[in-house]
Amino acid sequence: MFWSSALSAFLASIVEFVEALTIVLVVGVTINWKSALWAAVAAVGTLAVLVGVFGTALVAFVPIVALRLIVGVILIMFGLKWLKKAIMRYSGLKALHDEEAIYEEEMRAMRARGESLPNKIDGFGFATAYKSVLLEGLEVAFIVITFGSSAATNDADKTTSLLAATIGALIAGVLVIVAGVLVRGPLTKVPENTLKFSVGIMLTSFGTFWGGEGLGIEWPGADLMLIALVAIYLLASAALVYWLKSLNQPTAPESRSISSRDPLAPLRKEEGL
Amino acid sequence: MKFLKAVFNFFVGDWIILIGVAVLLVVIALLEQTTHQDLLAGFLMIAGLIAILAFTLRREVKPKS
Repeated sequence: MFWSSALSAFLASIVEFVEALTIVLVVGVTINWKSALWAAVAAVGTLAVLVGVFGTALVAFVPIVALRLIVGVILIMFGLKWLKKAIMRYSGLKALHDEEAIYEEEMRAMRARGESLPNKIDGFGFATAYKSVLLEGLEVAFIVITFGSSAATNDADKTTSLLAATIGALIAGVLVIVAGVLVRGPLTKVPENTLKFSVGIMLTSFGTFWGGEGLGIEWPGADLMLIALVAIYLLASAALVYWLKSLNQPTAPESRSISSRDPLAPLRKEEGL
Repeated sequence: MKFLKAVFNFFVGDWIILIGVAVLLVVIALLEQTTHQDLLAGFLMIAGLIAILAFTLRREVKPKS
């Protein structure tokens, strides 16, 4: 199961890294790199403290069966949340989460604020980048701890499994940062909805598997059941997209609110800005 | 209250999913404790989760129905 914790952490983390990097790039380009990079460093430092305190306690004291149930339930909720959004986007009920659109809207909003401060840390830019990196980083940390802790078959394997998940997430982070540095622009080439849909399927499948085990269910085929779960949720999601398309109405409230009134609505809604 | 709302939004952000999953897990736990029918419990868990997803999606299309 170690490969699965590394791969799952990699796939789940890369989405969060893309979102965080988009905001950091915006702050860096429009205000200054000092604000953006120091905010990112401060957020990573905060995360390191949080993971150091709570991550260690989690590994040392939480029984693995109870952990699987808790983690399974949380993964199910994460997975259903992501799947819901992805299915809505595929069925035309919500605008696709376009990184380029977010990038341009954020640039416009920041330019409208007035002069940039090239040599000083700007409060707004710092807060924006810090908040975004902290939020997305917390999700990455959560993904690493949950995947890493749950993939272990016994308490002794927890550390190795956590390391595998951490490596998966680190590779994702390095890849996204390198890509961001190379292109220095909107990360539109990453098919975000496809990624989110895939991650939603994986989170729900792993959540069902681990949550079920935590409740005492012995799945037929053991770990192979994960493949069946992925297939089942893929088919169900495809059917739901088809069903929603047939029910789709042009006056759906969410599509109205996102499409026109406030161009920053999708960003604020997703990032809590 | 603001903190609780932030926690709720971070983890799930949807009352139907939260309540649906909670009820489903209680049912599965009771079923497992009383009958030990793994196949039935597993099937109910998967079907229940898909039903919760379908229900919350339907609410997005027809919020007042």
